[in-house]
Amino acid sequence: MRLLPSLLLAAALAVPVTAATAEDIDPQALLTKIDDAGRSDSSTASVTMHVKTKRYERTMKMQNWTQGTERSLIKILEPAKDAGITVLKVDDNLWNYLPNTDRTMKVPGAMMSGAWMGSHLTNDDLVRETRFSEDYTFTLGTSPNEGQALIVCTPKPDAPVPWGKVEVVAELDGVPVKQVFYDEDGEAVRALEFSDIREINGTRVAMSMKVVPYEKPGEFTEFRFDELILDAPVDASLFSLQALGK
Amino acid sequence: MISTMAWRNLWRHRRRTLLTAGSMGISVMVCIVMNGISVGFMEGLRAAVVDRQLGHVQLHHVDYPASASPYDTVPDASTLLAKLKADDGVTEAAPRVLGFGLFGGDGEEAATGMFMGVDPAAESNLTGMADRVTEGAWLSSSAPSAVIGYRLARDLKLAVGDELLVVTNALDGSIGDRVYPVVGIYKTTNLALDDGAMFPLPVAQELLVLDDAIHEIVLLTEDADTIDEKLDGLTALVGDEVMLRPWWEISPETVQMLGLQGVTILMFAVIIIGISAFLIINTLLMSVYERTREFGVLAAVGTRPRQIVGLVLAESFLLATLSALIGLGLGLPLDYYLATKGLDLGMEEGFQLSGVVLDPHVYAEVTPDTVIVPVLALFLVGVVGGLWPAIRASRLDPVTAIRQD
Repeated sequence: MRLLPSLLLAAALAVPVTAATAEDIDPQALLTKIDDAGRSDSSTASVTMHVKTKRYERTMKMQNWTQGTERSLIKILEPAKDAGITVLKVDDNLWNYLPNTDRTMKVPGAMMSGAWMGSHLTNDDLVRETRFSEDYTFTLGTSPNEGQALIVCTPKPDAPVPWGKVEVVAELDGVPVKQVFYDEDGEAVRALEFSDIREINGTRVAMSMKVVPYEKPGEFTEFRFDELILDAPVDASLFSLQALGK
Repeated sequence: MISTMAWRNLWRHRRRTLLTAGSMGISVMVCIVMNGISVGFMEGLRAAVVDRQLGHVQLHHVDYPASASPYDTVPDASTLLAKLKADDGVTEAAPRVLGFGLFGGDGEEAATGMFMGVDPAAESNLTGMADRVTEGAWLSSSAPSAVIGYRLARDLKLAVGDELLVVTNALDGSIGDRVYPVVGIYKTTNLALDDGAMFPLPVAQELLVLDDAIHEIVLLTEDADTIDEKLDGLTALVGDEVMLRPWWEISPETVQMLGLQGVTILMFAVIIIGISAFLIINTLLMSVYERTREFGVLAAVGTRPRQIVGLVLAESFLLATLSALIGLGLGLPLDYYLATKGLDLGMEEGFQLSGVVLDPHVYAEVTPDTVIVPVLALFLVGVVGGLWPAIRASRLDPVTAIRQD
């Protein structure tokens, strides 16, 4: 599972497939599609993040470049206070460039569980790379909606996953609809809700992802693609420490 | 007359008497010294944890102790602080801002740790921070500056005059990142502090976008032993919008540790006193057996059983006195030595309690109790332990007793 703008992209992208019918849903194939969505693609996107918490509400605009799921660069454009902050993800590593102090720092392990930019995602969510089709065992549930599949995923014992169970709802072509994450006690902790599906380059994409933390009623973080260009040429040198802050 | 007889009787077996008195004396000495060390240790523990770390009483937003959320700030803090400072029982009231962040220096290294925003003067009065600065100086103004723990300095290879990078999640959801000049390096006994940094209060407030809010007020009262009596008054003073807690509620593990020490002393005393009782009973029983004929004669010439009991008890009492003198003679100088030079427990890093590293040097603390209690216990044992042999001697039948060899 990959989260966050780039991540949102990966999760939201569906590989075009021939329409399947409810009768012959293969959960393995569907999860692989969800896992592989956006993989090996490059993209550029303008993203708006809207965070609402009990304490504050803020909107950030950012530009996002990705190459596969391994590399991602996010540059904050607004608000002015945060403008210029740049986040580089390469594999499991995360660096922040802070224009205020003109420093680049690698996010250390102890900070990985901290909130990312005041949102409801953690730094860990940015880099964690698990696959529903490989790190989970799954069973097909009964989907509440026509044309959608519900797959209940339970992590394998050795999977590096903090969840007890994940319910994945997707359209039959692999476009995610909703994912509900349960903790080890079976309590629903967080949901990802995908909406505003559009077709880009012949691929159906959810343009909006909302992170809903159940333990904080009324709070959410919403990511929206204002612009999304798939298979855009992206210069590989972008994803280097030297390029950070330039 | 009885005491003269008793005294003479004791010295009929000089070696046995000296051995018994010596053994009991050493027991008393060990008791006195152990008490001194224990009290010294507890006092050191209390000072390190309570005076230097927790303060006597802490004040927070009612939810803060459970939530540790940076948003749970003390309501109307400046008014409260002014009230507390004006209170007679309060010797110092120090406001604090608490945060967690990432620290960096010039190099690649980064470390995470806690930081505190402090009122330099109040904090130094409270926890003696100024004295714990080992290099450079303590914070002196509210200008952007940092004093950092020696462990953080070591990890980030920072020296006085270098710049410290701090990155934290500010309360408005933004990233707070600042660079402050390092003006001093401190070494406390608290690992979390030594891995962290302190800034002037307004600097930390600006970093966290706290405006003028604070998380904690730490109070020092005139006397750690009378906090209990002041609590009600202080609670009334600050109102019920904030939570006021004495140190023993904040750190129950310290209370437990102190309690454990008390139990240890008691157990030690019981064992030592038990040994003394055994020694004194043994010695007097032997002595009574040997003198069966003598007691028979005494009884035959009209000595009353009461007087015989008195005689043996007097011997026991004198033996206890002798033991006490030996115990004091050995114990007090040793106590004095341990009080001035200290005892090295031989631990490289000291040991930890509540994240506080305790000094591996323990200095004995000699209070009247630590000396008088073992000596009184010795006399009690002397009299009680002497009763059995004494009663035995008084009940001897004169005729059979005289015939015995």
